[in-house]
Amino acid sequence: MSPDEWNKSDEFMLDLYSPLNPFDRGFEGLEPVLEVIESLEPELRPDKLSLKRDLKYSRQMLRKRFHETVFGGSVRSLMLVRSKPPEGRLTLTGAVRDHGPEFSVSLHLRPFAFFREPGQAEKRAEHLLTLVRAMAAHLPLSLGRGHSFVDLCMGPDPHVKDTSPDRPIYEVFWLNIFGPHMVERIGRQRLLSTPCALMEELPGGAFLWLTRPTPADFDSEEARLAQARALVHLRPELSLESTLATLRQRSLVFTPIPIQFHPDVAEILSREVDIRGLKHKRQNVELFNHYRPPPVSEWIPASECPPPDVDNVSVRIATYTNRSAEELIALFHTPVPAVMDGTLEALPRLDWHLWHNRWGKDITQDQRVTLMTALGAWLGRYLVNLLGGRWVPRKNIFESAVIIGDRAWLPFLRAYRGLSGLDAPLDYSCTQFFREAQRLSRQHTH
Amino acid sequence: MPRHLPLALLLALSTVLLGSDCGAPEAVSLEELRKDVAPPFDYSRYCDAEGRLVGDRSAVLLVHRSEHLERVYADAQAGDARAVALFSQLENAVRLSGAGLANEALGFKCATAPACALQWHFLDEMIPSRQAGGVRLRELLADSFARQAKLKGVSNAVLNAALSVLVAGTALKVGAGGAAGAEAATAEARASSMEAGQLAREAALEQRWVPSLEVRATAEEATAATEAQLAEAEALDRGPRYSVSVEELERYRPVYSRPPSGVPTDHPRWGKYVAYWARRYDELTGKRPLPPGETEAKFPLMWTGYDALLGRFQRSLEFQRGVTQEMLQEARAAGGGQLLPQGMKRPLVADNLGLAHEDSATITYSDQFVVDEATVGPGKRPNAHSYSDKQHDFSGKSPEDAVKQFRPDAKEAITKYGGAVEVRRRGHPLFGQKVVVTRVHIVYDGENLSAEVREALLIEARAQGVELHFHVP
Repeated sequence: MSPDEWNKSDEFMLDLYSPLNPFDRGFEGLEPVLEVIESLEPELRPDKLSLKRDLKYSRQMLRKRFHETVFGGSVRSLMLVRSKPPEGRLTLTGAVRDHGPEFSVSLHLRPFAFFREPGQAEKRAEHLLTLVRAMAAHLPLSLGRGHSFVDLCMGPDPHVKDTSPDRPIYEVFWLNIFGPHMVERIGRQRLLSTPCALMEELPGGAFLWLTRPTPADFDSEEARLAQARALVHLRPELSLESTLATLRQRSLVFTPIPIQFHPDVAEILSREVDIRGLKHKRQNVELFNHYRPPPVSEWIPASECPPPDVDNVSVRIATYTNRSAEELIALFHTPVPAVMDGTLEALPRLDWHLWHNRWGKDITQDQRVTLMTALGAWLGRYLVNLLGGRWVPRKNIFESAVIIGDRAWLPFLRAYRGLSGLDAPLDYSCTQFFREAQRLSRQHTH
Repeated sequence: MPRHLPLALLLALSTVLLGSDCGAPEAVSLEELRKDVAPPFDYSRYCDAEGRLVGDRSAVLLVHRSEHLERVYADAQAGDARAVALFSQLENAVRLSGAGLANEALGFKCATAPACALQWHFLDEMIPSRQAGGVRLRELLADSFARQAKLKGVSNAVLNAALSVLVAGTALKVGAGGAAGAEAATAEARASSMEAGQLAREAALEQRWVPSLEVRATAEEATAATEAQLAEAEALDRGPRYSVSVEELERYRPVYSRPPSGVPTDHPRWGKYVAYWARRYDELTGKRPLPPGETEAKFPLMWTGYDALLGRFQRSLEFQRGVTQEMLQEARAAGGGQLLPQGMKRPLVADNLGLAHEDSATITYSDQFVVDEATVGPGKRPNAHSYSDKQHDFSGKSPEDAVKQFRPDAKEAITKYGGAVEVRRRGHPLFGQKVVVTRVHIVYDGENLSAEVREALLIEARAQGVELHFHVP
């Protein structure tokens, strides 16, 4: 697996801060900033205005709806969205912070791989620099950085929690902007002698500097060394060894390890891994690589399956297929829309939902019984509709079976087990049950 | 069995005082009590020779029949063993009721807040005696209510109020005009309480018996807050509404005794629906003014839509309650936590707190409002934080979609709960004071959020000057 396949959720982020808030001068004040955004390369430029509803971006439209940028208090904020890949957002916010007025430009683009693309990385990095220079031509900058969002979130930098010019230098990134106040604090000479790939003074006295030519390799050994050297240069009290060790540790997050999930539960586990986030992905993959669901045991040989003992077989079957299964759809169609279409993707999605939302544990006995009936009927319907099974209803619902070939499958028993504990929806998944039945029915027909 | 009897009394008290939805169905109803005509007194109607209660309704009937109750109390005072045994069982039952009521009415247990405002005036019907025995039982009820509430971190002001309502309510009633007054009150109470699912507010607003005190303010505020939220959610609901002419609409008026097929008459939401429908109808026909903030009368939602709305609303109330509970826990743990603002010395958590604003006549209700009591006092600037709790389904959403959802939430929270506000709840240490909210917080349901979306939301919140938290219910 390539690093880009492993890491689909990270974003490239760039944010810039200025003590001058153009929102203070209303729409006209913001126009020079909008001009910069409009002149962005087409492959970076946002195309939508996200106000009360999404609108196609145009300056006229924004002028008309400018009042919608008021957030109450001292805050004005505007979000522009890029709806085509690389998807993302560009947010302009003006506010009064504890340290004074502040204007911020924050660009997030996804996937991060966009900035790694062979043959394009240099050009795209250059576009980002063009954006910074153009902003700096209109606004004095006090702070800024461009980096992997996930990597930044793992580090000690408090990010937006502290954007004051007096903040310490927590870390250095691919792209760094130090405002005049920071430059003075560090000492101009010290800053200028920082080991780096680019050092450039911007209008307004801020410095733009890069640790590497492009953001593409921020987690490589060379980039980590460059980041560590620069940081230790600016903060001599730090040790290069330990700074580097911490950064290397973080790079592991972006380094793929093989994913070897049990195929019957792979979708369920992948979804869980994704929602827990890239930061914990290795740890979760290692954990789930070892997981093996217990073999499916909710079946009996068809020859041992007792005949129907209910008064009206067809009415009971109709109840299973209509009322009970519909009940499940009614319960879960909002969080798991796939349950409505009866496709195979619905199985792992529902399994994941039940597991992740602790349906196996945090429910009352009454809820469990109701849900078990609905879930069993819904699961049985898959065996009937997709594998040609035949319902054999019984008064004791746990004996109610779907016969396929020489096996009688017990979907209600499976559903009951799947709702009997925190991890039960995973251990007794609908997906694994269906797939086991599918494999055996194929063997049977061949 | 004697052991069950106190339970019956507890159930009766809880059901009546809390409104229809919270109690168990087997409790003796107020309606039944009102029809009760006391027979001549005889101990055997209530207990065996040792004074053990018999029959599962005798405790309720005995406390209701004032003369009988006072007779037993007088005998007990005189040292009669049977009377002592009998009365002590009543005392135990009432103690239990007090603690149970505190749990439910103050929002620690019951999940149906609109019906949960305590309807104290019904206590007069349950235990009508204003003499020594009745007063004794009320004192016990007040005492155990207060103790339980204190355990749960309710402020002293609220407790004192509860106490005076329970005990002083009696005295007030004696002064208020005797039997005629009592009759009028009963009629009024009957009229307002018997609509099965009607929101408790009308009953709670009934002023006759209970002095205007903090505990009432708290309960009323909770009711008003949930009502305001429900009204807002209803107005925004996109479910199907009747689309006929106003003249024709009358034909569709739901009848309480004739619910749709499959819905039992005592379905709590059906009663609410009937009352809701009538309210909307009266607004459409001009018999009732429009609710604040609405410019045009809306047609009522169809039953299924309203039912679904109440279901969602119920879940959001449960979420809010969960957040409050976690905050109270954090406040007790005193070490900061996920939800409370950092560095508070004596955090006081109040939920559904009404806030008045300078530039608007509308009262807003902050889901939680936290003030550090150490910062309250002359010359101090209160460290006050307001919270808005929200649930959205973020599963499968991109960071942009999540942020798009967040921005209007932030805007709304800043407008409704931020800036200069005046706390409207009596007994709150900031009551009547104008304070500037230090920070507005939003609490999201953190269940179906990916770690990356979470981070994106957190930085977005910072940019808006809002503090965002995640709570997993």
